[in-house]
Amino acid sequence: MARVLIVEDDPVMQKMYRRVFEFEGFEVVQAFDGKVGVEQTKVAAPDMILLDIMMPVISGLQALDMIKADPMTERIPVMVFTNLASKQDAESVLSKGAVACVHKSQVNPKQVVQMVRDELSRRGVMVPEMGMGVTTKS
Amino acid sequence: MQDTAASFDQLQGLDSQLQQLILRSYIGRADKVVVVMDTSFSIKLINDFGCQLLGKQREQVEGRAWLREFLPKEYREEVREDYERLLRTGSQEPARNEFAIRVGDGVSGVHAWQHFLVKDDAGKAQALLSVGEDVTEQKAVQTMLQRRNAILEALSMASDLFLTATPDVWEHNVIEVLRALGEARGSERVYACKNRKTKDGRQATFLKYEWKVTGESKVFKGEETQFKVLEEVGLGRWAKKLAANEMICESVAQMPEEESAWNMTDDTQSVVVIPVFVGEEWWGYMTFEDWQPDRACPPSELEALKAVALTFGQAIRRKRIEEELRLEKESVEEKVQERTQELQQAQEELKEAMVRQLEGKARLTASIHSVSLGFVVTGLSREVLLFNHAVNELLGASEEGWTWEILKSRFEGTVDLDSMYDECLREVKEIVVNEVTLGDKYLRLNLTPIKLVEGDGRVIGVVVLVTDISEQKRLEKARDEFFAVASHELRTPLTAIRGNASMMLDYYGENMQGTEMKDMVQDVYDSSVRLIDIVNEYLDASRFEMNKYDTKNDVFDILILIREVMQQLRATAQERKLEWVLEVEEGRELWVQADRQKTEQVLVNLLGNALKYTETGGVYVKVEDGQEMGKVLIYDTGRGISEEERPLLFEKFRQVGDRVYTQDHTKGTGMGLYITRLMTEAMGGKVYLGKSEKGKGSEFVVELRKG
Repeated sequence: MARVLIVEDDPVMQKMYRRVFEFEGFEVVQAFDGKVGVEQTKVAAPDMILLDIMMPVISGLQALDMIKADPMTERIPVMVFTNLASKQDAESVLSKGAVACVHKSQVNPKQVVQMVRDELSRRGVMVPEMGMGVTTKS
Repeated sequence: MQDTAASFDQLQGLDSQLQQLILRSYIGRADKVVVVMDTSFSIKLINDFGCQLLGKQREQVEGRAWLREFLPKEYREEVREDYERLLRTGSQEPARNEFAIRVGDGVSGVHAWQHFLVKDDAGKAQALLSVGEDVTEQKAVQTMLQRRNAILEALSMASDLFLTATPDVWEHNVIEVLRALGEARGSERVYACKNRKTKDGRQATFLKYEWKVTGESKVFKGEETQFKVLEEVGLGRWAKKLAANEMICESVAQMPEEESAWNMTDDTQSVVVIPVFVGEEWWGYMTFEDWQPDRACPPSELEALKAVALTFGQAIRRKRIEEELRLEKESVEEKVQERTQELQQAQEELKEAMVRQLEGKARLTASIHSVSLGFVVTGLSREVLLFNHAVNELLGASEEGWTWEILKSRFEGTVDLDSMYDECLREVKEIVVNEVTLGDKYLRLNLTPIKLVEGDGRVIGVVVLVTDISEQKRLEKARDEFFAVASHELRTPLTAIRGNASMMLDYYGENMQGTEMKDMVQDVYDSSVRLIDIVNEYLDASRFEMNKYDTKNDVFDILILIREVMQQLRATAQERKLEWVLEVEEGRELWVQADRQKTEQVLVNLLGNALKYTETGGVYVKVEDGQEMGKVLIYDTGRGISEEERPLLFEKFRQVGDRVYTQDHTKGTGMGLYITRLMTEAMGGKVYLGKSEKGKGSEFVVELRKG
């Protein structure tokens, strides 16, 4: 099963993204700051990382650098999602090796899942079918 | 004659016989006319000389009436009276007079006569004795001497008058000379003519000074008397002689008739014309007109007149020199005066300028001391000329005042003032360094070249301005923090609302199908989306207004960007079942100079709007190539924009009225077009409504500088 690591300090956001990915049949690993995020990247070996920028301890940008600097983790695709939505930020994360930069307030959670699904499909990772497990939950 | 008188006196005491004898012998000799008459004036005796003079025999004379027959009429009465007086008074004193006697048909020369009374021993008058001596020659010599004397006097007077003539009495003195000469010579009119040349170089003259015996005298001013060409008034001969410094001394009768035609009195019998030379220059001539016949003009007199003419010439020369000197003096005086005036004026101006400068300096000093900017003026060799108090406050007080070295040392390690200074002078432009930290202060440094505004505009130094921007920096920091917080803190919960609402719809929509609940969740979702848009746009606009955005100057093909943006929004267009067309032929390029990202945002905004407000039909994009600007035209078949909406279309909050009172509570914040305009203008472009018709569609135009 495809595993995503969500690195996000805000518990409500964390919960929302965990929920949508679980709805869509993903396995979710959570980290509430950048430092834990980097550690979890090594421990959990996720297929994909969703990385917030503004976080305590170490920021998403620093975390990204560390992930990309570590040969063990450098190949894991990172999708940066943030609310500090300047274009410069987006460019800088893309140059650091992120696959995408998503403005959290501009997309619905389901669209984020779709983006992850698309990215993983391109990489040949087995991804769950759309809409899996939604109705069963209710 | 004294001898005669004396001899007769000696006769007085002799008896009559003897007297008779002596008398006879006496009158026999002598070159005098001696006539003895009885008391009734009949001639008793006449001597031989008398007979010869009368041209008669003694017999034809003696016994005849002396007065009646031998004296011209005009003398008779006078002589008779003399005789009668002698007889009456018995005076021993002889009576004297002068007269001529009749000689044949004519008259003799003038004789000087003495008449004696001859008495007998008893003292009774017996006879009258008249002795006459011809004094014609004497008289002539005398007259001549007198004239000469007069002329010499006139000459000396003329010299005096000429010598003492100052410009104001010159004319008067000339006339006085003419009068003196005229009177001395007995001339009736004396005048001076002055020469001039005509334009074609002919010798002309005009009457300048004139005196007449009748007392009239006149000085003719240039305008009063017309000049005449000498040849034309018959004076060609005169001109030739006079120019050769020769005099003319002729009687009118001998002259050719034409010579008396101009400027000669009718009665004139003879003239003396003397040339007047001033140095080598023939100035003119003096003419003496004699109206009486036979006025002699002996050489000595001519010499005298010539001398007068010479003096006259010299006087004119002196007058000219004096005139020149006077003019020169005047001109020098004028120049001196002018120069003095200039100097005074210059002095005044200098004084004023100095006062102004002092005032200006005072004002400048006062104002530079009152500003909170640090202000240091330096000369070209970095010497500090002036600094204000604020420098001490900003950079810390310097006890030894401020020198360039001290100033420089304050920025050691942060800013290289020397190289800034050099660049400032080299480039002649202001050098600015923002955000220099000095202790806990943020400073801004401006180095500005001091150029002479007047004159050659050369640079004479550098002004260093130190601005404390700490407060500004604190504010900026606070603002940045606010933006960060606002964007993060607001957007995070909003994102949670939006995300969760969308998930409720996505995953529980079917469960809620047909319920009020689904509608309510939909509203929550829509509202959250709108709220996020509003927050985003507000933040964008605020950042723009505070120039937080840098504008880049990219050069790019806008058609590529248009295609990208249209691609991004294609899904939305398809969703709304709208045509989505780029009406540009394949392969066309349109290069512009702008910030590519902002241009993208502008296009997104405009195309997004077009999509938002169009229900049916489509959205179309065209480009046009202008002279300096590239144009992008976006038109749609949407609802269009009413006349009333247009003026505020690109203004902030323009939708307020619409939103509150009329329609469409769900779309936009009203900031979109405002931000679009701010961004476009920041790139040196413009955005405007091309055309629009309510209910039919709108066309928006973006113009960007061509690349």
